Amino acid sequence: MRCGPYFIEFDKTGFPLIKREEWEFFISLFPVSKYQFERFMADVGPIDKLYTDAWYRKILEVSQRQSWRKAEFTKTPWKMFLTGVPLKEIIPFLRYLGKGFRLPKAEEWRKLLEYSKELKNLKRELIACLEAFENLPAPPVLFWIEKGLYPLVEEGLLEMIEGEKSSSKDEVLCIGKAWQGLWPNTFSPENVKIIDFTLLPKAVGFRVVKEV
Amino acid sequence: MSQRILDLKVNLNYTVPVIFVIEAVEEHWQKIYELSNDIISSLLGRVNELYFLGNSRSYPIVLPQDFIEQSPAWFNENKNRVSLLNPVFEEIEKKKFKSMIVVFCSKEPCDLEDWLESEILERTLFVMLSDEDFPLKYNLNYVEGIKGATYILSKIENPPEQAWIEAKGFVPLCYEIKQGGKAEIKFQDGKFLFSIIPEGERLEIHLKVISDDFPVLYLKRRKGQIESNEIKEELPWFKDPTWEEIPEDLKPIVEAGITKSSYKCNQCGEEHSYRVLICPEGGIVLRGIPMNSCVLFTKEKYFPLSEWYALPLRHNQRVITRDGDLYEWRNGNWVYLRKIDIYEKIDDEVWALFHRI
Repeated sequence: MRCGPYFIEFDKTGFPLIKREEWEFFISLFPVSKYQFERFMADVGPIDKLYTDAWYRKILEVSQRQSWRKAEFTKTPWKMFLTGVPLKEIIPFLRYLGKGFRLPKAEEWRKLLEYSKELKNLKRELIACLEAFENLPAPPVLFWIEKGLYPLVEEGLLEMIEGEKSSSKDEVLCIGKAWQGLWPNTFSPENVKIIDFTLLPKAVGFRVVKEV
Repeated sequence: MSQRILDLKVNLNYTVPVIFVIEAVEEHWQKIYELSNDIISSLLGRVNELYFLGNSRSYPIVLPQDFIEQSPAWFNENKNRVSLLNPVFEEIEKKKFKSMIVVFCSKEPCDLEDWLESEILERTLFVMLSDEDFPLKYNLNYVEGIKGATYILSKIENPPEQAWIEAKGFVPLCYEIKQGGKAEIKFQDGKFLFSIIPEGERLEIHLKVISDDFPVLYLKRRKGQIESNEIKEELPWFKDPTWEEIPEDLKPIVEAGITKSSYKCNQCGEEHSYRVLICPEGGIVLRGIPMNSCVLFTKEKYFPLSEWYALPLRHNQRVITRDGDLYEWRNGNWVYLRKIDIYEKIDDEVWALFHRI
């Protein structure tokens, strides 16, 4: 579906991906949320030791969960998004979403940052487009857009991206700028950073890209 | 304004279906199995579906045997799933299931917070299985599994406390409660309310009504929000009002009533005013015509309202009740006019008399 200069589609979990006319990829409008990842876990069930109740509760110890319905009043919005999951443990999620899904490349993520303001100004049109879909999106989607909680690139999480792997297995390539309340920082969102995942797991999340 | 007469049938089970939701945790499975089995056998036919936390799939239970035989395999399919309410509750909401939900769990579901202050949580009972203190962060409806099936059953029951039918412009004309309670009709704030005090296991009512909108049956249970239930239309259950011939010897008395004059009493032979309904020397002057409820007269016939609660008049714009109360439909409300006077003209060539003995 078209919304101004954007095309919108949903992934298997009911969360929106957008593509500007000239882009060659769709990118998720939000970082992957806990609600979204829970939909995946409900759909596939445990895979060995991954995505079990014990596994998830351990993640939640690092990255506390907060109801998506609290978007309006929260001072801790990061608790609604999935953080603290190591890279190799999100691969089954990417596979589950389907062919062509992967982490964004830095330049793809930067495109989203470039058009962040334009997207925010399109709020009414976005809501109208999403409401027109035959199958309504996942419950948090419209709620979060309504509250302006998107695309969360100027400030949000440190987001894992694709790129040259670091020599240390604990280091991950990230982009973005963490919310100050989550982790005080002076990062520029567009710069790629190498983050030691073990030191800062609760600030590290991700969003997805679908190749066209 | 489209006041119409409807023939309706209410058919409602007071006993509620129950959905079981289980945390597939190995450590507590044996206890869950035993408790569930006892409860399913006691609530015969009322637990029709089973879910596992973290899975939107519903497992049907047609007979208690289905649970006994198949639940271990279902449990294995779901073992160690993340304890999530969202997949289950979203599915239950899609199905518009409005009854009790029992969640067997050893820990608070990870996404419990998403449902706080929701209506569905009001009718959810958490059966806690952990031997340790359940780390309750929230105020939930809960019971400890250790208390056993009988105790849990007492918490599952959600008996009906009150039922009522209402709609815009609604007036019950006649009704028959085949089973399920006693009815009381109240008039308040321009509305007629057909109220039922529930008894037994199911409610069955036949009704003839006047209504602007299609009436709805509301049910308030001990727990949860007020339920609205659909009422179905049916072929007329009640016969049309049968007007009887006024006996020849009573016709002069009725005529005197209609013309507000006097009549010669067929008991004492004296002249009485039309307002005299009991002869001082005899008894009831309209002998043979049922009293104690409103009676309608034409010059030739009569119709006692004893079997009816109310009768529509003037193209359904007015009603008269069996207690002789007259109401009129004005600006979207029923307005109480008055108790009728003796032989009051209430419609074209129709007079009414209410006399309580």
